[in-house]
Order: sequence, then C-alpha cells, then structure tokens
Amino acid sequence: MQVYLALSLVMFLIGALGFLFRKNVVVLFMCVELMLNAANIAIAVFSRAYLDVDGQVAALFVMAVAAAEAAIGLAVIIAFFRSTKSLDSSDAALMRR
Amino acid sequence: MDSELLRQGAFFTLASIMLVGSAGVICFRRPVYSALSLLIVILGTAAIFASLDAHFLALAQVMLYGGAITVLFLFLIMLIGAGKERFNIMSLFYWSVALLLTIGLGLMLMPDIATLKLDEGTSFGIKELGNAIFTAKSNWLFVLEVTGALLTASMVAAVVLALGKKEPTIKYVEEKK
Repeated sequence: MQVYLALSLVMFLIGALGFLFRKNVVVLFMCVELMLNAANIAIAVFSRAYLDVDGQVAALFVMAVAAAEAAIGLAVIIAFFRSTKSLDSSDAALMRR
Repeated sequence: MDSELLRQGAFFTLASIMLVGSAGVICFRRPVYSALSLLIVILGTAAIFASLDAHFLALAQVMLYGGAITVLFLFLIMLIGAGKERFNIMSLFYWSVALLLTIGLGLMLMPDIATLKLDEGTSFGIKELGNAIFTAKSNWLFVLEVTGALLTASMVAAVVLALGKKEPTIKYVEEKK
C-alpha cells in the first residue's frame, strides 16, 4: 500500500514544482488539478487501508470542489486575458506598480 | 500466474505512465499537450481508484475530470489561444529554490509514509457510499448542502466573470444621441 502513497507524493511534488516554475496561467491551473488528484489518491488509499467509507466520501467532495474551482478559475483566466491580452502570470503585476 | 505479482506489475506500469504524464504536464511548452498529458494522468488516477476497489470514485473521476474539466481546459485553450510563453527556463536560482522546496516537502512527508502499517481489506461499493452520504444519520448531510450552494455560487460567479463589462445597449446609445 505504501507504493500508492509514494506515487501520490511524487505526483504532488511534480505538481508543486510545475506550479513554482511555469508561467502560463493555464498550465498553473493544470498543476493545481494535478496536486488535487494526488491528494485524492492518498485519501482513497487511507480509506481503503483503514476500512472507512468516509475517506471515499471526502474524495468525492474534493472532486466536487475541484469542479467548482475549475469553473471559477477558468473564468478568472478569461478575465485576466481580457485585461492584459496575455496568459503570462508575471503580467499580473497591477498591484506592484 | 500469481495474482499478487500481476497486481504489482499492473500498478508499477500504471504508476510509471502517470509519472511520465505528470512530468509532461509541466514540461510541454504548448498548453494543449499539457492538457492531453493531464488527461492521461486523470485516467491513470481512475485506474488507481479502481485497483483500490473504489469503483464509484473511478467512475466519478472519469466523468468529472476526464469528461468535464479536461474539456473545459481544451475549450479555454481553443478560445483564447495557446499564448506564447516566455519560458526561458527562468534562472538557475528559481529552479534551485523550487527543487529545494519540493524536496524539503518530500523529506518532511517521507517518514510518515515509511512508518505507516496498512492492511488489505474489504471494499465499499456505491451502496455504502450512498448510505454514508444521504441517510439521515450521516455526518455528511450538511457538507452536501454546502457543496450544492458552493456549486451554484460558483456557476453564478463564472457567468458574471466571463460576461465582463457590459457594453452600453443600443437603446442607451440612441438616447444619448
């Protein structure tokens, strides 16, 4: 069972690494989805290991929240693109100027 | 054929495909390729769920992530274009900071994983899941209601955000004349 958790950890780390070094906001968003998926795997593994159905329910709610987050996040990306005409996260510097 | 061996072989094949896919998400320059790699990872995750006997989770994963979220990504990329990324692999400094942070996180979590003792057990089907969520003595009823409110609110927010600033209507322009 621990290999499942190791897979989840490595996936999460790849997602975090991508979030730290990519610039394209769409890809940043994909990295967030990657991390959510990794966390979901861990939740499912624990649910299976401790024979508790609540883990699977929690994973389902994580999925629902991820769907809501995807809807809002993509709308935010569209609004960002409309105001800056770019998808580069370093162009989101309005507050710095 | 030993079924345990078969299971392990299947897991390691799946895991390597998923890791390559998730590396593809962050390494491809064009967001379309990243989205397709993400789809591979999502389907692999569904298979992992299935191998953990979480069959409903696997189904929901394919429908929600594979069917809805990936398509949403592809539509977004189609609508606003891939966008030229100033990739420049950034400086070595940023790379080393990012690697250090992720390795530190990994080292922080590694002991917890290594000391876990997990047993194999029975699985839960969709019936147990439904009982856990929807019955009167469930702990999740309130969470379910709040999630419904959250989804509705997010839908309204997405529409409002995507509409943007309202153009003055023709009637208004005519009145000004």
